[in-house]
Amino acid sequence: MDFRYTPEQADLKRRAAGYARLLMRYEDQSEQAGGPLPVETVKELTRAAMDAGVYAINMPVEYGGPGLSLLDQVIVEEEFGKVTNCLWDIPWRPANVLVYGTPAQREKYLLPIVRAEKFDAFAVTEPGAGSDPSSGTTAATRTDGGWLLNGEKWFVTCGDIADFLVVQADAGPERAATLFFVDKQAPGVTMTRVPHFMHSAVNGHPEFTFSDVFVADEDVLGEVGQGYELTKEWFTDERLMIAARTVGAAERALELARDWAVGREQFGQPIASFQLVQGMLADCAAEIAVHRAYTHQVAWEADQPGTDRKTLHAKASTAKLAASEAAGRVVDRCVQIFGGRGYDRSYPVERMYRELRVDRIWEGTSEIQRLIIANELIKRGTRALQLPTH
Amino acid sequence: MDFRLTPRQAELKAKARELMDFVAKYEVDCEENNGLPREAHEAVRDAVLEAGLQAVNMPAEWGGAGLTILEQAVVQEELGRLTGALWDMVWRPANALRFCTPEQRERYLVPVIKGQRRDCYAVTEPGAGSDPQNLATTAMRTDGGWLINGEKWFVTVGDHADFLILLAAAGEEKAPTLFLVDKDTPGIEMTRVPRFMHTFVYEHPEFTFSDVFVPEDAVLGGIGNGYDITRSWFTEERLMIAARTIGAAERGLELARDWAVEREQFGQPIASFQLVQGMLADSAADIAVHRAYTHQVAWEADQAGTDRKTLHAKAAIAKLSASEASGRVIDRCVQIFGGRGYDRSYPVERLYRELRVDRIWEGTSEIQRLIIAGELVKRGTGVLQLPSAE
Repeated sequence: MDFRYTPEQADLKRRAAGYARLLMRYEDQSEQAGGPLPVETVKELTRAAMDAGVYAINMPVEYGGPGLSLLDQVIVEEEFGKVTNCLWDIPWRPANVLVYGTPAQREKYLLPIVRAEKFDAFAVTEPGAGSDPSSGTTAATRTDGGWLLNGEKWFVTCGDIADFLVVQADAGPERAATLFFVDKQAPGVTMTRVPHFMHSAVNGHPEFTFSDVFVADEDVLGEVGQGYELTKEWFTDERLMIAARTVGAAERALELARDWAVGREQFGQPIASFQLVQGMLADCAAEIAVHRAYTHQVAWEADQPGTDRKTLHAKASTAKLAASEAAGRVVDRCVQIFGGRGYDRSYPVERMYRELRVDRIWEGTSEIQRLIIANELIKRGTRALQLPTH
Repeated sequence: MDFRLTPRQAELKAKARELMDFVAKYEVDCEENNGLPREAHEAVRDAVLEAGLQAVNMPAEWGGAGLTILEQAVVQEELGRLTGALWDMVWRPANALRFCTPEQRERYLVPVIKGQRRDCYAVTEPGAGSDPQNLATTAMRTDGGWLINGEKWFVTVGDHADFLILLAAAGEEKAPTLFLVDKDTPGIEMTRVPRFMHTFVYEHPEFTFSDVFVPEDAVLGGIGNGYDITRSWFTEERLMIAARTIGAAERGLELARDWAVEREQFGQPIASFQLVQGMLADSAADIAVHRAYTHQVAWEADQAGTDRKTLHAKAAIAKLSASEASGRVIDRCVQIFGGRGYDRSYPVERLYRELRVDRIWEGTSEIQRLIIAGELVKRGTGVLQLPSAE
């Protein structure tokens, strides 16, 4: 066993932390604007992310990304997670499935994204489908030279700024789940609603309708019927990144709450001298420490070629479930320590309290994670708890 | 980073598991008869010596197994599965005995390591415990030695031991000092053997000391060093509690998972009900994250450059959060077993009672929180950082 960062990882963490501090300077501006930042600002921050080597970190070197392992990505995302208003969306994380495109699709879609010239968004959830993806009603029917898409999609994260969508739809009479590249400007695509959510994120999660939207055959991603298979792989990675970001967010909240408790005086002494405050600080530290350790463990395992992928899926669910729930408890205590100032939107703990709530919902609710973990336990016993061996 | 158990660690784990399986035969006997007969103690002693797992915390040159802290944690995790605290039959002499003079070592430590003698630690008093400064047991100078007067509570293994390591305030200056005291010394009385919630293979009796004479050479580790020597024990001991509670929780979950898969209600295994699945999943998550962190801190404890003050707080985090998590896990496991979980012949019932004390002894959860908060207030949140090879 060896629990140390390598010197390269320590350097990567420093670069990510430096970039995260830059993003933090724009938090207030984003909050006051209800989320979005001016296009020029986003461009500057994008360039800075590229200079720091933390843009599109999940993309291999051959496609222009930094080619980081999952463990390295966890290190970066922990630092990103400290930033509020989802400003960590600016150093873009393209959908993993884009690497499965044909060479032509890669030229057209993936490479411009890695160069920050274009942006993608993933459209899966529907009014009647989400945790249960098999009940989708968006349909693709055969037409000359391609497909006609009809349906409705919800929660299309970054759909407001995206240039194109990756839409999951049931293809043909067999209703084979399939992914399609859809240009947002294509006739029949309408952004119907941009809901105002609890958080004020830099990018939105709009809703779309598709009415006889034509998609050419060359814009099918992967094979017809490969939709689930391709999206499933995304989940292990994404859940680990949520675990990492929530650990980072909780750590920043605790740092702030600790400093506040040491500086703020009541009854003639710092509130940090009261045991009920000390208990809250200690419980926060314990939750951050244990979930940091486990998230790194699972990311490390994910990078090992011999790791069983089914058990890994359950481990990523464990990390996501446990870290997001723990971060929710941590930031709740931090708001409490800040008192009225913790309820003030100009303080990061207030924003993190609202923002961390969604991590227990998206990329699979806590309940879906529990079902995945329980399923692993029922099918294969408790081996998901074992540490790896040589 | 490398999260794998080495082949040596995996072998130790297997060996500890084999010993655990052997000792487990005595669990029901211990529960039904509130202890074990002499033959059982002898059989287990022989098995421990044969496995080479005697005195794992003592150097090989004195006859111990000479394991690192991480290796000890690996062993203790397996032994923690045992009910009746039968893991305590696999003796780990008090670390304070490392401070023995060569003569003391021959008389006390070496026979303990060989399984021929047994030590116990007498620290807590009616008016001193979490606050050790309030010591009322005194050692007054007399011709050729000391006269000890006072009362001690919760002397774990005090019934079975043949000598005590006793903390007393020595001389006029009340210097906290450890004494090696043979139990058959005149003036020592075992006044009460309380019946605790668990059915421990050994007891935690109370003792009074009335003009107990000990010679000069009974002082252990020098006059005035009693607190320091006692405190240095805590980091290790708390890590071992963390490890044992994780092992116990894991066994609880294994049993509850098997029960849930086998037991049918409403025409299907209760494992098919989501409320049961949720309990299984939350238990797995509690175990997985605390296993990772306990191994991390044990690994750090073995590294030469680790800051000892921060390590003290990390051990407190591991102990606090693993023991609290194991309490939650075993509570759910009892719930899954229903009425059978309330039956003393089932291990989950016994583990439920036994795990309760891990939130109390070697520093209550509240004391751990104060230690952690003290670290945060004094030195910030650096305790949360992972180690780095830089």
